Amino acid sequence: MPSDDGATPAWLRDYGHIAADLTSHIADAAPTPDGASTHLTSTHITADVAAMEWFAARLAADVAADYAPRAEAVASTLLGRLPRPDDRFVELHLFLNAHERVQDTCRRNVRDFANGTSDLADAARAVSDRYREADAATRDRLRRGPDAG
Amino acid sequence: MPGEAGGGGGTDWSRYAVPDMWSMLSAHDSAAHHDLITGWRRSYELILEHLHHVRGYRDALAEAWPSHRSTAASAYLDRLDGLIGELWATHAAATENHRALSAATGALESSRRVLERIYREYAANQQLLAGYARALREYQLSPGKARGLPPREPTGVTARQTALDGEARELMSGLSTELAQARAALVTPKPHTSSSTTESDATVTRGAVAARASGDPGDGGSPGGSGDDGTGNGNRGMSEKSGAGDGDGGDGGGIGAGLGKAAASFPEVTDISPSIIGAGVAAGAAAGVAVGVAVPRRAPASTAVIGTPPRTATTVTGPERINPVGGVIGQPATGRPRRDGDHPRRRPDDPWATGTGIDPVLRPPDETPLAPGPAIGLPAA
Repeated sequence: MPSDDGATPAWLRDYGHIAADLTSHIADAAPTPDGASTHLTSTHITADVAAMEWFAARLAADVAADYAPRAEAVASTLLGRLPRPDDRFVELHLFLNAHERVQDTCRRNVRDFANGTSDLADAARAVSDRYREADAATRDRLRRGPDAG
Repeated sequence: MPGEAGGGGGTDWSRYAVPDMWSMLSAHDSAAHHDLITGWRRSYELILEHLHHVRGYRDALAEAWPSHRSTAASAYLDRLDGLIGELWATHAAATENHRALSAATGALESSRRVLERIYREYAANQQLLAGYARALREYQLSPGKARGLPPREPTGVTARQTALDGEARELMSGLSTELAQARAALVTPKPHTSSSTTESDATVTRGAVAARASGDPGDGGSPGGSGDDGTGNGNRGMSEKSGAGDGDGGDGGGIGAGLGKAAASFPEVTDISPSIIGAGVAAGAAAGVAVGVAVPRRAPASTAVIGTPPRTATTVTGPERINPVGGVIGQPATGRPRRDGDHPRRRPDDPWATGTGIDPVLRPPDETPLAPGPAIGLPAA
């Protein structure tokens, strides 16, 4: 992803490559589009279960392999504190105090985004699992016939 | 103590001479500043990269699990959009903060360079003046015949010192302005909240984000910080406003509100009991107390009401008795209030006087003439 000036920063050049490798087996195993979609016509819910699963796995791998390690490094940098100035220099004091506050908030966000994103990926994976289970249960009941308990 | 400098809330540079101002900037080290500038740059770069991936995921998922066909999908995508919004806000904040810190650091560095030149000239002139004063003193102390020509005062040096003082003050005033502008440009993003977002950085985060179990000054106190600066952390959207005393409940004060050593470390105010809100904090701020210092939780008074001032002796009402004026402790206050004339005041010049018809209990001693006794050299009386 290009940054504001259009160039990818050097330290982010390999971002996403590891996650692609980690999820390649899921992509290979993914069913064809025709077989992947689960149409739950009774509630009009449409979900491409296999695609959901793949996207969620890809996002989780992306966080674990690419975002999180870098976020940890960046958060460590943002832990740094600027030297305290002379007490008489009020404006410098005020600036540094305000800066420390925004520094702490941003540092926490940089770190917490890893968990926040990972949670959403897990949730999507759990939903796709539920859909898959429901789909399998429905197919099983239909195969066994209407009298099956 | 910061905040005491006067000058309309900021540093009153007219109070300081060149050596004072140089002492405030001479120890400035930009290394830590540049480390943090790098930290800010990497923050916004990383978040932007992550934002791109999350957006791609969102678009792909919206096709696989359309929100218009499922309320669950709709709710999920709402959460995802919330995360995207927070990512974007933090990216924007990091970008602005990178810019603000870069500007402040640049201003500090350039001002320090100029001030160093001023200080060197000022110090050299001071040596000249000191040499002249020494020579003048020696000239005045030397005997008349041994005196040569009186030492000549270095021409224009005193005036130059005054000019250097003025130049330095102007420089530092400009630096103060730039720092105030940089502070106004700082942006605080909304803190990220998710189901597993850590309330404390000591909490272990999942994945490869290994938590730092300790050494994180962000929780409970940051070393060297201060109570508050009057910036307030109130959200103006996402921004931290620069105005004085416009902060949230724990902030306030403003530049001249007594920011100082008492607040030299600013634990985040997380333990304010409801009874203090609107009362203790406001009272502290009004009294010029350095705000931002953690306020210990106090047990509220039984009749305390949030938002009302704490009960004091002057507001005691009801069955509790107070000592009546001129009365006896424990007795109900009766009778009319004392007026002038009821009890004659004692006159300082005649403390033994009593009222008409009243015998005095004590009488003054009889006056006896002073007998100083014999004195040497004087004829006996």
